Parts: sequence; structure tokens; C-alpha cells
Amino acid sequence: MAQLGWLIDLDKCTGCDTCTIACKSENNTRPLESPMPFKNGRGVLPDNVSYRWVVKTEGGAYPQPTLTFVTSACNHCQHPACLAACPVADVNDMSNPNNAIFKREEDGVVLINQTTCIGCRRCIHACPYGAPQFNTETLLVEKCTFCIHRLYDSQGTRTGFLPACVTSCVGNALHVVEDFVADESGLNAPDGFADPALTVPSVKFATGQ
Amino acid sequence: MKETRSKATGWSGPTLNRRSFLKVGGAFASAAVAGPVFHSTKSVAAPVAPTLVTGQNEPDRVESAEDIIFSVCQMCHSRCGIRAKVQDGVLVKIDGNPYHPNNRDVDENGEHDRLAYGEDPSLNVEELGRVCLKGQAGVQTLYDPLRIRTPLKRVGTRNSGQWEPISWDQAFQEIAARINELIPDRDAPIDPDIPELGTKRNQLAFAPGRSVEKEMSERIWKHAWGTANYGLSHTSVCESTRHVANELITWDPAGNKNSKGAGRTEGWQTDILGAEYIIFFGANPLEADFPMVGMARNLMHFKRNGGRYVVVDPRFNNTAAKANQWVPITPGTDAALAMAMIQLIIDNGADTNYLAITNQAAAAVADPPSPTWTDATYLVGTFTDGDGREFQRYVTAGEFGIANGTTVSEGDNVVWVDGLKGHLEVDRGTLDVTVTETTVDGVDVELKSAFTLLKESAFSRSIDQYAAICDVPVGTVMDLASEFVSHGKKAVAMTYRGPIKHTNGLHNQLAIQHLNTLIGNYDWKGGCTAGAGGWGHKSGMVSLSSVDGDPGARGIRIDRAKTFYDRDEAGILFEGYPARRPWFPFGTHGNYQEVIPSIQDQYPYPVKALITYWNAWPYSVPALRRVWEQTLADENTLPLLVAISPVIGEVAAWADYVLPDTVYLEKFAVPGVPWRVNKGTAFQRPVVGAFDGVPIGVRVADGGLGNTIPVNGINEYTPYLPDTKAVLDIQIGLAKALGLPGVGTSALLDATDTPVGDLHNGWDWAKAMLENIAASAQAEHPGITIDEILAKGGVFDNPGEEYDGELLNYRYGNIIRTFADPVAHTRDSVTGDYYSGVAQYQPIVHSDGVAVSDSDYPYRLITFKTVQHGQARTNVNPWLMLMAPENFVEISARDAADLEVETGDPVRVSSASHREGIVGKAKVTQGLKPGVVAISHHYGHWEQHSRPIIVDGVTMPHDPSRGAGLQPTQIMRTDRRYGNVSLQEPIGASCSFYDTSVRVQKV
Repeated sequence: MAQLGWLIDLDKCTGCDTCTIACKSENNTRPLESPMPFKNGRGVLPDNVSYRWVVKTEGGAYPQPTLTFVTSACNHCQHPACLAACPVADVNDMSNPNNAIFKREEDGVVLINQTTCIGCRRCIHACPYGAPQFNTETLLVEKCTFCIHRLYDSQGTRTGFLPACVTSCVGNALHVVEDFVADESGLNAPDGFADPALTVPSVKFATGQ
Repeated sequence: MKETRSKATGWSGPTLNRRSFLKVGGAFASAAVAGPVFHSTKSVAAPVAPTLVTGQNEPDRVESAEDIIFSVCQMCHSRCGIRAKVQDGVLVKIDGNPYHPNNRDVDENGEHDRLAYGEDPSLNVEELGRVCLKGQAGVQTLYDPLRIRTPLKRVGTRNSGQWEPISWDQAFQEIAARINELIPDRDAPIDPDIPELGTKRNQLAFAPGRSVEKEMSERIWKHAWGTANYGLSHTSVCESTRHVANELITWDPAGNKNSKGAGRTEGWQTDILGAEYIIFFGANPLEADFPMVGMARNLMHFKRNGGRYVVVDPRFNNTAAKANQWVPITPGTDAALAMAMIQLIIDNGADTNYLAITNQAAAAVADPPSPTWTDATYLVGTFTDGDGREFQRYVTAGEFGIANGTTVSEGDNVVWVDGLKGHLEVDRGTLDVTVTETTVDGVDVELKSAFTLLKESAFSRSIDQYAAICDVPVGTVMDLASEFVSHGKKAVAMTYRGPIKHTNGLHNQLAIQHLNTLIGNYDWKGGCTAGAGGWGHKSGMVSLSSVDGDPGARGIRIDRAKTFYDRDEAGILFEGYPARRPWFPFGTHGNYQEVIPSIQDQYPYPVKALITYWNAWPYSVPALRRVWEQTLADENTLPLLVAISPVIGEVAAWADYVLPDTVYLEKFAVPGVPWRVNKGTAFQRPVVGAFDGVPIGVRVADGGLGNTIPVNGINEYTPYLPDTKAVLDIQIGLAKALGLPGVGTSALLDATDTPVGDLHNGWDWAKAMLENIAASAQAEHPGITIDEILAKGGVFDNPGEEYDGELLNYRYGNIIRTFADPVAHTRDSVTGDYYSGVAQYQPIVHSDGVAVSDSDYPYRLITFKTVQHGQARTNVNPWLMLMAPENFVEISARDAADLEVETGDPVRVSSASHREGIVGKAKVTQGLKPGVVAISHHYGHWEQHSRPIIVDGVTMPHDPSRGAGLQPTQIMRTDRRYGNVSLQEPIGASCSFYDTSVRVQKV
């Protein structure tokens, strides 16, 4: 079974958030109108869902401050903690698409089935990367799909398209790994990245210099 | 779709936004596609019911060739090529045009990955270029639910927020009638005693903040109406002083920007991919500089290849975060650092072999052949005028009797080689030379080479003194200089607004740019490029500026740009020094900040009617808000204001009429390609709406136009909001209502003034431009057609055509001037002093030369642009506001400790010009030079539908998130002599953005 994954060239990420917005535009995630916080009976909730985002970390002290950028999304893990935590998913039948969370056999992409998801949000607490996000309007959880709707045509054949975030990456930092090797999970991970041993995320990092 | 669109007419119609469009589109989508694609792969048994794996909204349907329409982005000024994905008439996504050099250049391995121009777009659907987050969010600019939907007429007093919807016909007729009433005798002189002012036609002004359609506005307002105030554009709040300094460096005395000449180029940019070492002074190519997308990709690739870059900036921005070195500098002292480096480089590392070349022929035979040459050896004399004031200028061969009619002409420059020689007579002159005991017209005149003047200026202070001024350690200064000269021609010192937007900005630019001159990197691979330019669209088949009946725009502009304050050009308005308001003879890009204060002062004459387009004057211009409100509140001062705008912005709120403009995704234009090493002419076209009622972006099989435009059609355009109009059509409509020539049947002329076409609508104009481009590009792209230009979003060169060996392929190939001769014999209209033509460090001053010193205000305010936002309009894009919902008052950690301020605390920032100040949230940072306070320039809108307006008695929806944060321009420092205008840079006519001292108090 092949596994799709990410290669993130940390030197080349310019922190521009183009990946974030390319994803929102491609997948039409909230908000589409005002970014004002959403008020309901449970208080003010962040009223947005983003399948990809950029982690910006400030450090150091003047005159040697630091500011680092790491683009982040669902890592389509070998052992998805979200799936394990999901009450509507069978870990022994991970690829069953009727699971609320399932992991596709053919490419390892992890998806949340909006028809069977019950919005319990256990996956949100289980994921070490913050990938599953709660939609305050549908009351369900969503996350990155690796843009599989672009990757395959209606016959299931791979197209020449790539995920919207990769296509638009300004600094050429974000790449698709076609055949992700689990041994490279978390390779060269930046500080603060969750221990890859937990879920074996399909992401590796490069620092070229 | 048609039914939905017709429901959108008028204010009472349903609110259309992208989501409701998508719901409609989605219905089409599920009908058109045989089931969702998620479960069609062989290894998974497809469930009976389709499984939705994204959220409440489906992802976009994958595009086919017919869904792709190429155009040009205008979310910022990078003018990237865009690939709009339009399905069922709905713009669903924006990507980059893979033919456009901003948006595709090199791949991971440094190989070219831009599409060759010959590639067929329909066979390359999977080839996407990149556009940044702002460009992607352009979808929301188009489908902004709060856009104005019909022309509006003011109800009650100005800025009352109350409007009456009117028809276009009524709007055009009433505006034309009002103009004719205000200016009944347009051919009469404004003042018979001051013929220099021209006719009353000048009392109508057209002020485009940003205009990529200026050929049309110049046609209508300059050539058909005939006002000198045909294009009061925004450049002086942007980078005009940088342009003007570069023009002085490339000055052509035969040019016609003012009566002393014109620059050959206004912009230098870096060939990033070819370079090895770059010092960015106040430039932020990963965020604010343009074109960001191309620069950022190239800069990251440059780094991967071992390139090193430095950021000189008071603020640690994203570019600094990725830099090899950050040099925090005191704002406004960039010339001190650059002059110190010049001093060190003159001592060690300057390419004196290059600098000594005297002319083009000598450059061609130099070893290696040099594409450019300099004036460094040209002799400059110091003279005294009748008032006893000293000035400098080049001396000429005729003045010393060395002209011989063959190798030396009267007007030639003079160099020293064992005596005075004509600059064409010798291949090289003596670089460092002072010539005494010479006379001109019987008067002793000391001559120095331009190089000697620069050297003396550089050595007028010690390195220690310069380092103290700019607060950069001496060791850092020395390291920068030594590294800069250790890469041959592959090092560049590059600027953007940081060093420029100061009262001393011109000299900051001259000093920094001449670092490049000292190593002679112009036109070399990895050096400075003047840009490759593009194929011409203004003439060829149709002469866009030719109008039968052109009354000829004459006279002094309201901002007094390009006119010398002397008896010859100002007539009796020359009243000695100081002038009643300052004049800007070298303001070749106009003076945006002077327009409203001058209208307020009615100097040099009253303006009766003002038409604005893409203009955010009181929001964008330092210290203008209060003056704007005073001026507009008095209808006698400015009787008519017409705003062309898609939203009620800060200008439109005060207008008498608002004409709802389309957005850039609904326009025709040739916006140009920014300074890149590749040649290109991109073409902007509507990507949604309908031509002659046939929808754009609906497949031909479904009764639409797909991505084509019928070249021979009438192509009357209906925008997405059908009662809005594109600015081209608005101006044609106004011109027709005014009865002006230049529009209508047979209005378009060729170079021989023969009628070649009608001008009834935007397509007539677009087609003329396309015909010109196609004719101009035949040499490089034989057989190119209008259809091909439309199909590829413009005309571009091919990847790989940027270099010619170690040189750039597209070259400037002319003189580089170290001495700014035309300004050196021009007197400042306020002080009466001659300007200096020699790069130098100057302190920050008021217009009268007195140092700016607000000692009760201990911090220096700077502004910046973040990558999430453009200039004044991106607060309408929810995605962008989501990335950064508000801005902050950024304070260095050291200062915050003194002030006992923590992140999130409300603080008041005030200045000597705005004592009540503005309040915002503090953000304490390690990434800011102590003593500096930074506030970004995108927030704090008080209009743009951040508050409700009333139309036809109905309160319209608004969005308070659009008013988040604070806008620092309104507290910026005013000039002490001319109290209704900001501090200014007098030569390039820039307003000052970074010279305001402020106080910060915890609220």
C-alpha cells in the first residue's frame, strides 16, 4: 500500500499563508463571509475551519530575534490517533469508508465521513497536530483531504494535479511525497513537533543548508 | 444562473455571495459529473450513497480547459498573471498564469518550469502558476456582498451616510450638467493675468489613486476634456522618490517629463536568481515588495544555491526572518550607512576600470565590454548665481573652447586626461580630479569630477560618525562593505519604501543605488535590471492618445508638479521665497498629498469638479484625514466630488455621486509587468459577467462563451452586478454626456489621424490595445493573434531568454549618472537654496529646512505592510482578515519595559500634529529596534462598510470586522510651514511616512 505524504522544506517556507488560503479557496471552508467571531450559547467560538495553516514561532532576543514558519495540516498518519479515538470508526477495519474516520488503503489518505461523523470531537483532542477542526455550523468535524478530488479523475486514475496548497506554495517549500516511507516519519522535524512515534505522521522535513 | 443574476439587481434583491453562488453551482456540478470522485478508485467498494468527506461546502469541481480564463491580478501592485477557474459563470478559484514570469520561473532543481509561449493552454490544464494568498482571496473581492449595486446620489449633507439610488443615465446627465454649470466657459483663462495657469478646463481634475487604465483616463481627461489635472495619481504616497532618484541616475536632457529632461528608467530591481549577495534596504520581498510571488520564490532558490542576503530595516519582518543577517537601523539614516559603505568601497573594491569609461563606444571596446558607462569622470563646476548662492552643474566643451566640430561638440561633457577633453574624445577620463585655474565666462570656476564630488561627500564624515548616526556597529558597516565588493557583478543593494519615504529619501536612494554603481553591476547577470519591459499597447494599429478635436491640456497642475518655480514657468506666481505652497519641478509622478491641501488653499487656482477612481486619499495619505474633512465639508471650496468606486470607501463617503465600479476581475486593462528580467505584456479581461448577454465562463455547449471573447462582436459588457460598470465604460459614458470628442463612432485614430474604429464601449478599447500588442509582438512571436493573446493572458518571452552569457538579455545599455545635474541647478521653492546633486546623508527636515524635532515625543513611528494585505482594500476579504483580524502598536521589548506595557494593553499613540492620538492594542516584540514604534498600514478603516449606510431610507448591511485595528497615517507629522500637508521630500515629491515622532501612553 502506497502512502501519500508531505515534504516540507523549512528553509523555503516564507510564512506567507498562501497554502492556508489556497486550501480555503479550494475546499470552501469557513468563513466565506465575515471573520467576526461566532457567538452562540456556548460563548464565542472561533468560527473558522482551516485544513492547513502556518505555525509562526517567535524567539530569541533583540538584536537576534528569530521567527520560524512551519506549514501544517493533517499528516495522514500511519496510526491515526483521530481514528483510534473515533467512536464511529473501527480500528480493525480502518479503510471502511463507513467509518466516521477512515484511512484509504490505496494511498493512506485519512478522511472524515461527514455522513457518519457525530461531531463528538474526540478526534480533535486525540490529534497531536490540531488537524481535525469543528465546524460551528454543521456541528461536525472536518479536516484535510489531501485534495484527493484533484488527485484522481472520475475513473480513479491519478491526474497531474496536486493538492491546492502544494500548487500554490510561493517559496517552493511544500511538496508531495508519492511513496512515503514510514521510517522517515518526522525526519528533521522542527522544535515543538509532536513525537512521530505517537502516530507515525506521513510528513518529513528538509533543511538544505 | 441567469435567473439568479437578474435577481441581484437593485438594493432590494437578495444578497448574493459566493456561498449562494456555490450552492447554485453545486447543483450544476452534481449534474455534470458522474458522481463524486472520492470513491471511484478500484480498491474501495463505492458505497451506494455518496460520502461527503469535506465540510458543509463541497470542494471545487476539477477544471477542464474551457473553465480556465487568464487575466491579471490587482489585489496588490504585483500584477501577477492569474488563471481564473470559472464554472457555470461563477469564479470559483484563482491560481497563477503558468506563462507569466511572476508566477512560474524555476522548479526545485533550478530548472525553468514556466510554460513556453508556444505551448497550447488547452493541453496544459494541469500546469498551474502560483498566486499569493491575496490573489487567491480575490474571489471575495468580486463576491463581496456589500459592494454598491447602483449609482448613488448623496441625500442631505456630505458624509451623512444617506444615499438615493439613481440610474446610470441620470448619473451621467446630472454630473455633466453640474460640470457645465460649474465651468461654463471652459476655454476662458483661469486668470487672464496668469496665463501660465491655463484655461478653466484645469478646474476639473481626475484623480486615480491606482490606475492601470491610464491610457483611457488620459484620453478622456487630457486629450478630450483638456485638463492638466488629468491624472493626479497615488505614486507620491508610494515610491515616487525612488522613481525620481533612479530617473536622475538615468537622466536624458532631451526627455520631456519637465523642461530639463526625463529619466530613461524609473526602476532598478535585482536579478535575484543570478545574484550571490543582496542587501535589502527597507525592502520586504517576502511580504510587501512587488512582485512578491516571483521575488520570494527566487529568493528562496537563491538561498538554496548558497546566496546570502541581508535586511537593513528597523523591523524584523518575514524577509529578515529568513535572512542571513538583520541590520536594525535608525529610521531615515540609510544614507549614513550607504555613504559609509561608499567611503570604504572607494578605498577598496570599487570598479574604477568601469567608472572611468566615458561613453558608449568606449564601453563597447572595454575589457570586458560594458553595457553601461558612467558620468564619474565628467567635470562639474561650482558657480555662484546673481543672488550669491552657489550651485553646481556639468560644464561643457563649448565653455572651454575645446569643441572642434568633429570629435568634440559644443555641448559635450568635459573630462580630464592631461588637459580638458570632450567625453567622446577619450575612452577613459581621470576618475579623481580637481581642476583649478579655469574660467567660464571670465569667472574662476573650480572643476571636480563627479566621482570626486561623491568621494568628498562620502569622506565628509568618518565611519564612526556615520555608524553613530545610523546606529549600526562599525564592524557591521565594514563587513557589509567588504562582502558587497567580493562578488564581482553579482552583488546588489536594493531598496523599496523604507529608505525613501523620508524628507531625505532622495539622497537615501541615490546613496544606496550608487553602491551598485561602484561595482558596475547594471545589466549584468546577478546585478541590477531596469526590467525587460513588454510589447507596446499604446500605438501601432491605433494611437490611443489621438483625439480629433484635442483641445490640448496646458498650464500648471494643481499640485505644481513638473513645473519650475521661476519667472519662466510660474509667471507672476513666482513671488520669491518661500512660495505660497511648495512646487515640485522633479515630481515627475505628481504629488498626491498636495492635491487636497492645494484645493483647500485654492492655490494656484480653485478646483470646481473632482472625479476620483481607486482613491483612498484620507485613509492612505499621511496627515490628510482632517484636511480632507475640512475641505469637503465646504461645498464652496470643492463644489463637486464624483467617486468611482465599488464600495463606499473613505473618499466615496464624502462624494456627491458614487459611480459603482467593477472590480479588477471585471475589467479590461494592460497593467504592465513589474521589473523582471523577462519580457511580457499581460492582458486583463473580465472573467465573469456577460458579453452581449452571453455569459462568460459558461461552457459553449451550455450556451456560454467559455473562455473566449468573440473578437468581432460588439461585446457590450454586463458585470456580475449588472448595474455596475467598468471604469472604461464609466469614462466613455461621462465623455458622451459631456459631449467630448474622442468617443463614439470613428473616434479611434491611427498614427496618421485616420479613423480606424469606434469607441463605444470597453471592448472597442480593449480590441485596439490587443491589435497594437499583436502587431508589436509579431517579430518575436510571428503570426500571433488577438485570440492567442487572450488564450494565454498576454504575450510573454520564453523561459531561458533572460540571459545573454554573463549579461542580462534585456538591457538598459546607457549612461549611469553619479551627479544629479538637473537638480543641482534648481532652487527649492521654499528655502530658495539650490539642491545638491551629490549623494549625501541629510537630516530629517521641514520644508523650510528646519530639523524635525519633537522632543516631547520620544519614539519614531514607522509603518509596514504584511503579506496578508494589500494597500487600502483588502479589509473586504474575510480570508485575509481571518489571517490577521486586527493590527497592533508594535513596541520593542526594551521600550515596553520602560512603559510598563504588555502585549494586549491598550495604548495611545500621539504626535505633535495629533495630540489626541489613536488607541490600539500593544504588541511587545523582540523584533523591533528600540525607540521605534511600528503600526501596519491596512487596518483602521472608518468606511468600506465597516459602518452602515442608508440607501433609499433602508439601512444596508455592514461588517464591523472591516473597521478593525488602527490606521497611523492620520497622526503623522504635518509640515511646520504648510500646516495642512504632511512632511515631504521636496525633489521626488514623496510624502514622508516614517519621520513622525510619537508618544506612547498606556490607556
